[in-house]
Amino acid sequence: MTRLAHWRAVWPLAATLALAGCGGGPAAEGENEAALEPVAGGTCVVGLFSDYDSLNEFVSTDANATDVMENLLYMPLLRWNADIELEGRLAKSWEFSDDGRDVTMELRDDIRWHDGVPTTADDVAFSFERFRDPALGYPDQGALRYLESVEVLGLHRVRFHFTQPYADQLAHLRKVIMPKHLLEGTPSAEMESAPFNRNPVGNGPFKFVRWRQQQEVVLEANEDFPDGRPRLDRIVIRTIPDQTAIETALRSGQVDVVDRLRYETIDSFRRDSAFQVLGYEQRGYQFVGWNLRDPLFADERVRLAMTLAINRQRILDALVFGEGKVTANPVMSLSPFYADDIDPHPYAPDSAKALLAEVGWSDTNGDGVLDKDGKPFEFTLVTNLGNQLREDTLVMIQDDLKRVGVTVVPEVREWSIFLDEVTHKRFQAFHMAWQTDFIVNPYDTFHSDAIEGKYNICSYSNPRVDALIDEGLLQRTREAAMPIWHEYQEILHREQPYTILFELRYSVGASKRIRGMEIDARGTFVNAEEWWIALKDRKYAS
Amino acid sequence: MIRYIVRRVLVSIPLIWALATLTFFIIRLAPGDPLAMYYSPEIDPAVMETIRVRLGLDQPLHVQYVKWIVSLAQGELGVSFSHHRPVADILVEAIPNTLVLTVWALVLDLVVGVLIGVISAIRQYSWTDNLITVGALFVYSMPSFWLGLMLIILFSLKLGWLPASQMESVDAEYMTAAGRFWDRALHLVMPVFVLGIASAASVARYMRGSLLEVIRQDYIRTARAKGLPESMVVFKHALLNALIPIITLLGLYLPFLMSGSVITETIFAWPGMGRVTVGAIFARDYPIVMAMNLVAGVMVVAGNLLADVLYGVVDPRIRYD
Repeated sequence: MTRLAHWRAVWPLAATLALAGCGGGPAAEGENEAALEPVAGGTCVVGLFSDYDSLNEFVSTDANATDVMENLLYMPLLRWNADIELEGRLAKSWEFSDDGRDVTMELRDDIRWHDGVPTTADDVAFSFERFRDPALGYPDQGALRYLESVEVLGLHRVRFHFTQPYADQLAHLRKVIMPKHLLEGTPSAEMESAPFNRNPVGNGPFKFVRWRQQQEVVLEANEDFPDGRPRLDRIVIRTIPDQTAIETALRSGQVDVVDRLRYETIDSFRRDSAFQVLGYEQRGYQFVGWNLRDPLFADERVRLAMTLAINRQRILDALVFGEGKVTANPVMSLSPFYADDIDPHPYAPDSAKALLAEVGWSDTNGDGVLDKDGKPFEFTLVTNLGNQLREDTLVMIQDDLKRVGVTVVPEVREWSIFLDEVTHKRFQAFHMAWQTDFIVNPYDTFHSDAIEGKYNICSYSNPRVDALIDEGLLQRTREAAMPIWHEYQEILHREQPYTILFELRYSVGASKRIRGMEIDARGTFVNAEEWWIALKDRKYAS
Repeated sequence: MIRYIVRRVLVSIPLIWALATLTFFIIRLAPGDPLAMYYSPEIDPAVMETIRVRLGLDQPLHVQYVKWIVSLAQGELGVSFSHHRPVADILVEAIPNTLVLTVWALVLDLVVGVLIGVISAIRQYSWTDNLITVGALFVYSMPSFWLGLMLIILFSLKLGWLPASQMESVDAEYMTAAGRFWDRALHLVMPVFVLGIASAASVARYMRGSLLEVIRQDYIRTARAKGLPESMVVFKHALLNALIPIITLLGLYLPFLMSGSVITETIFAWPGMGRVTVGAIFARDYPIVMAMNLVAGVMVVAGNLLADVLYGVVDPRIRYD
């Protein structure tokens, strides 16, 4: 008996090894889908890699939580539309004063918190008062440094007083508003552990039902939403902290939507007719930063040579199957300020070698490595642990630079340690990515005043760039700001404190049963109100 | 016996204190900042300072230590840096989930391990024994993440028999009580198997060795000579005596009951203590790490004590004073 029982244990595993090579799930039925009309109802299950930290705008630092708060649970004052222009959400209309220092805003009068209390100007004033309260430690506090006060002019009328007009006044008001009647009793210092954070009451198209920590968040349609209830009945967000497990759950139908598929599996989902793959640009860029205080990289010709020697397209093709694009500027390509006319530096290893020779680097001893004054051109390139793409990029850069006679020593450090080293300038070159917004604000990364801070890691200093940054941040219209940011990008393109590598493209994998999905860089849930499930595709009881 | 227990408990108090102190200082030796998550050009440095003060991280080390020991003595475990909530709440939520998994894994462990060990011992050096030994070693050597993923691919993806992850289905709240119970049971099958089967192999080996030793004893020969059926000889007389080392194993298993297994919990998206602890270490979430170490330390001490006491209860030859 035991022998037989044992054989049964081994056989399926051997079979699994063979089966594991096969891909794909069930094919969709060949029905006439075009005739289906959107209907209300159904539950959509979204897979989440790591649980939210809280659902309170005062406290959360998690970009995924922001996505849920902005698009599902709450109403921000303003938000980006698909053309990256600001549109009113809670705000109905707004008007600048002549000197540009005041913005008077009319709010919608038909929005209620999910406990029935109307959303009014008091909530807006309360929210901004807390955002600016130093005791709260609101992460985005810096953005509001020019906001002097918020005045309540009426039940649905508010005026923002700024100390001076500047470019991003409205963009900085693009905040989720929190309920005064539920949170005014919580002192700022205790907001972090407020029970509200795990049990939020919003005013958006979806209502909070429950949150089981590390497991799931359940939201249901707000039937009384003035713009009409969202089509889905429920959105369930389940936490599955392993990439393979979350994709397997997608394939087996246990979750319907997964953000950020692994690059190696994107193609198999594309080829599977039961799934849809929706791509969107990363809100940021990948780069190599050079330590300008290191004698090796103080000369801009050396940095340019490095850029010319790195085959960025090849890295994209090899590591992410081409999902992304090589960009030229430290600005998100979808941003209206991205200088389209600046082409990325080409891949030109011979020009790189020529440039290095100009600076005095040549291979005097014939060992394949450039040297000068008896010292070889060797440096350490460091990145953070836990991101396979970054580690692999390091190796490819090492290979590219070897061809021009430069030796790279790749090193990987745990995230906290990595941060420690780079912010204290104990490095020669580092590889990282920045998350950016659609608006441009390079003050912390490239202004010379910020050198001793944590973000101007390269120690970059150029008086003309300083002046441009200072001026750019004050412009009040996009048209006025464009040429300033354009010149800023031109200078950085020439001086290469960063070698901009590329902007990645992420892909959301979803079951075809969720229809009407449109995803872009603004977030996964930007049009979640319009997602719908055909009657024949319903799965869950409700 | 009572005096023995009391003495052991009293000795363990300074032990736990030493463990707590050591943990406190060692975790802070690790380079890296608990506030690393606030690293972004869009976040004002003043904000980081505010949070640093709020978390008490601006105080000198010995001041932080004294504050912590004092609050610990009052039963306060502190507030988690990364979860923004009291550590006690996090433990209260995660530990029962881990317990469900580990208790069932323990049951599987013991039942399968003892059974296989007994069969292996009775049929020593036979084909059965050799096959079982190799099989046990085979399963024991499998990395649990690989085994877990293979099982998911086979039973979830290909066959669709079992759910791939989590503790219950999306619409579990709409099921009948019986339906929900069955749903939870289905969700438990694979993680419990992965967690329990590896230790079952080692329990089997211990069981086999121990039983072989007991079977050679004179009193077993006497029982056979008295004409008792073989099954009674083995399962009543020999087995119970052979279980003694397994009891020791049980005591040592206790700490694992609450701290869970990171790998299994991650693969199966099981919201337990293993995941919480490892996440806390990477985030330098000191309060959680210290609380977990304390829990683990207490469990180790309790486990050892339990094993020793049970040993004395089960074996009348052993006396403590």
